[in-house]
Amino acid sequence: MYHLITKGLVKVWLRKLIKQGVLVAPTELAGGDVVFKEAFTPENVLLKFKKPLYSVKSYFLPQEETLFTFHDSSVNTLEEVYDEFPRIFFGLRPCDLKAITQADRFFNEGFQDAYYNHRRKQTLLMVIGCNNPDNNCFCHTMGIGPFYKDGADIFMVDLGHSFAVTAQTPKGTAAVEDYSYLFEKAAEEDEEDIFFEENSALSRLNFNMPQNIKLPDFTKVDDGFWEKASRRCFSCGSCSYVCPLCFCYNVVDRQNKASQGKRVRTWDSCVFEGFTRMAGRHNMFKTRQDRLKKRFAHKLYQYPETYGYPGCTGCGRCTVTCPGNIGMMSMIKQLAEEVSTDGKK
Amino acid sequence: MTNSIADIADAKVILVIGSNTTEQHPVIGSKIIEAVEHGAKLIVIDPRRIPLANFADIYLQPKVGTNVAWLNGLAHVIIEENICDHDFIADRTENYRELVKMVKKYTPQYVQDITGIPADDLVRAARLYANSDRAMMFYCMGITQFTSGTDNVRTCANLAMLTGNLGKPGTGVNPLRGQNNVQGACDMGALPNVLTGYQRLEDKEARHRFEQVWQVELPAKTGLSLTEMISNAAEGKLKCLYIMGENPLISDPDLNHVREAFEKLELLIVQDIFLTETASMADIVLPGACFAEKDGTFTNTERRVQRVRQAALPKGSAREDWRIISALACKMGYLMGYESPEEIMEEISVLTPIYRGITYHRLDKKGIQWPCPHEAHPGTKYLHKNKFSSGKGKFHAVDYKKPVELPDKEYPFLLTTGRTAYQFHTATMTKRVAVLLREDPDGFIEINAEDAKAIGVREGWPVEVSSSRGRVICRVSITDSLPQGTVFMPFHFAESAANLLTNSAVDPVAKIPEYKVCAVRIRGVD
Repeated sequence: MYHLITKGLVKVWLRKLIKQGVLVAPTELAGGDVVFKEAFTPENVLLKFKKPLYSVKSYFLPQEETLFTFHDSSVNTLEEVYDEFPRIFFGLRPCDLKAITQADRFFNEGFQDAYYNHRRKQTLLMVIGCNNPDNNCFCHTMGIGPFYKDGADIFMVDLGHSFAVTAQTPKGTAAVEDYSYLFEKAAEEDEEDIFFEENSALSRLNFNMPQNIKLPDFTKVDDGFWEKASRRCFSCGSCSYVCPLCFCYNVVDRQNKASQGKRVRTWDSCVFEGFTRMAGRHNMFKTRQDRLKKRFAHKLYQYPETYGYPGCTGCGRCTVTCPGNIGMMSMIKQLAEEVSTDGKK
Repeated sequence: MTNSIADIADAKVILVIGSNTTEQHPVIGSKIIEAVEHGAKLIVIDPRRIPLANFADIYLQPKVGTNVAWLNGLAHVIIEENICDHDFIADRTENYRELVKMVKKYTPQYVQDITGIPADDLVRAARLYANSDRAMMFYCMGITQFTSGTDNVRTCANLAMLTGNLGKPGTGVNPLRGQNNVQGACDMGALPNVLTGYQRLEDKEARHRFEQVWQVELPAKTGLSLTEMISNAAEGKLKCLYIMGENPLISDPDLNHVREAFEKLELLIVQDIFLTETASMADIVLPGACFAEKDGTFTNTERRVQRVRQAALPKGSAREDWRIISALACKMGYLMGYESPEEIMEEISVLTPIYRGITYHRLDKKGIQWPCPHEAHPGTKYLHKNKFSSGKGKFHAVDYKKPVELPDKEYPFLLTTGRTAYQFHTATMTKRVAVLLREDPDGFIEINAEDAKAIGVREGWPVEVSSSRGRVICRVSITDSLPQGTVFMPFHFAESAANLLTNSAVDPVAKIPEYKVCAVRIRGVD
C-alpha cells in the first residue's frame, strides 16, 4: 500500500529523520559528480539525480577500517573498534539495495562478521525506484529490476509532483507513521502511474540488453576469448572497487602509535596479482588472463551456484570506471555471442 | 603535446614511440585502444614488446638507442617513395634539402643492419604513417633519455613536418609528460635558461618586465642543469643545494657519484612530503604539503591549466611550498608578500604572454589550454596552426650516433631502465600504499628466457647485476618482451636501485642523462 508525500515536504521529513542518525544521500559535488555523501541538513540532498558514481558499499565495508588495536605485543590489550553510528540511507536504487541484502548473506552465512553487523543493524534503507536507467544499466537481466524492493525499509516511487511511499519493515513503518501528518493516501490512479513508470523504465533497460539474455556456460568459452579480453585489462582494480557486490578484503597489522598496533581491513581485488600470490611467489592466477576469467566466472557462474543469482546487480559502474572499456554488460553480450556460436566465429 | 588528448579519437593513424602508454599513461592508453577499436591504425615502435603492441597493426622492435637511424629510415622511405606533403614542406618549412641529403644513406637495408628492424616492416610503417592526413605521433622517455635525446626529438619533428601531420586536429608531435605538473613546472621557468612561458633569459625586455615587478636585478646568465649541479657539487664548485619534491638519490644516474657529490655540499636543504632517501641526507628538512593540502593549478600534458583545491589542512608543521618559499625570502631580506595562490596566478598572467588570459575565475569549472593570450581567448587545442612560433619549421639533418656505453666482453648485456604500473617514480608515495607495494614489492630484472638459461638462473632467482659504476642484487623475471642481449630494470626501488648502474653521460643540449642504455654483467648469487 502506498502513501503520497509531495516533493516539497520530503525535506521536512528528512529533517525529522536526521535526528535519528546520519543522513547519507545523493549530493552533487563542485565538479558536477553525484555521490552518496553524509548530509548534515537536507538542503543539498538531490531528489532527482543521475546514478551516483559509487555505491554505498564503503558505509558497510569501509575502504579501510580498524578492527582492533593492541599494544605491547599482548593479546590481553585487544580493544575492538566498532562503528556505532546509526545511518539513514536516502535515495538508494534497487541495484544498491540488492547489494546490501547480498552483503547480509555474505557476512553472515557460515561466519558472522560482527563489524559488518554492527553497522548494518543501525541502518534505515530508503530506496527510490529507478525511473530513468542510464545507458550502462542492466539490472533487469540480473534477477532484479528498476522497481525491485525486497529488503528495503521504505520504498519510494517518483511520480513527478510527489513520491509514492511504502513501508516494508517495522523500522520503515515507524519512520512513516511517526510523521503521518506529512502523508496522504495514494489513489488508484497513482498505482497506475507507478505501474506505468516501472514499465517505461523496463523498456528502456530492454533497449540496453534483452531481458532473456543467457548467462554463459563457462565450459564452452575457450581461452582465446580471455586472452583477447585481458589485453585491455590494466589490472588497476577499479572494477572491484566500484562494484557494490565485491566484498573481498585484506587484513593487515599496522603500527598505530609507538608501541601500539592496529589490525586493519582494507578493500582488495581479484585482478591484482598479489591477491592470490602465495609464499615463494607461486600463483594459480599468475596472468591477467587467468585473473579476468576467474573474476567473471565467479560473478556469473559460481555466484548463481552458491546464492541462486549472479554476483552483479547490473549497475554498470564498472563500465564507467574501466580504463580498458571492459564492462560487465559488454562482457555478458560478448560471452553470450561466444557461447551461441560455440566459440567459432 | 602539440595537440590534445581528445584528438586521439580523430586520428586515423597513431604512432607510439618509446612509451609504455597503457601502464604509464593509462588514460591516454585507453583512448588509443578505443580509437583502434573504432578503426584507427596503430604503429608501435619500442625495444620492449609492451602491452600496447598487441593492438598494433605494425609493431617494430628496434635495438635500444637506435632511434635516429630508423627515424631517418622512415624519412628516407617517405622521400624516396614521394609520399611526403610537398605543399606543407614548401609553405611551412626550411632546410628540406639538407634533410634529403642526410637521409639518403638510410635505406631500409642500412637501417635493418643498425636497428634490427626488418626492411619490409620499416617500409610498411613509413607508408602507413605518411599516407594518412591525420596521423598522431606520441613519444615518451624512450625518445628523450639518451645522449642523442635532442636528435631523437628533432627527427620525430622531421617526420611530422615531412608528412604535414602538424597544425591540425588529429595530428602532431605529442610528448607525454610523466607527472601531473611537470608541464606546469617547465612553463613556470623551472629550467636554467628561461623565465615563465619560455621567455629567454637573454631577452632583455622580458627580463626587464620581471625586474620591474620584483624590484630586483635578475642575472642574465643561464644557470646549471640538474646533471651539471651534481658534477659541480662533486668538484666542490657548488656549495649549497635546495631540493624541492625530488629524490635524486634514487632518480639520478650513477647514484654512488651523486652521493659523493652531496657529501661534499656545505648545505643540503630538502623540501618534501616524506623523509625520502635524499631528505635523510639533508642538513635541513622542510616539510611540504601534498596535493590535497594546497590550492593552486596543475598544467597537464596537453597544456591544460587546471585548478587544484585544498581538501585538507597541512598536517603538523607542514606548509604549502609557496608559503615556505615566501617565508624564506622574507628571512633573507626580500619581502615576498603574496597572500594567496590566486595573487601569484595574477602575477603569472601579467608576466607570461601564453598565460595572459588564464585567471582563477575562468578556471573554475574547466581548465584552459595555453597559449591563451587574452581573457576572451578560449585556449588553444593544437599548436602551430598556420605558422610555427619561430616562423618556418626547420628540418634538422642529424646523423645516427651510438649510445655512449654499449655491451662488451666484460659487461655483455644492454640494460635499459623504466617504470612499472604500480610504483611511481622513486616510490616515495606509492611504497606507502599497501596494495601497490604488494603488487610490486621489490626490484627485478627482466631477462629473455635464453639469456636466463645461459646465465643459469630461473624465474625469481636472485642475481647480481653490475656495471662499471655499481652493483645491485635483485630477482629475475623471465620475459618474452625483450630480445636476447637486452635486459630491463625498473628504477623505483631503493634496495636495488637501477640507477646505481646507469650512465651519467648526458645529451649535449638538453643535458638529460642516458638512462636507457648502459652495459651490465649478470651472475647468479645464492
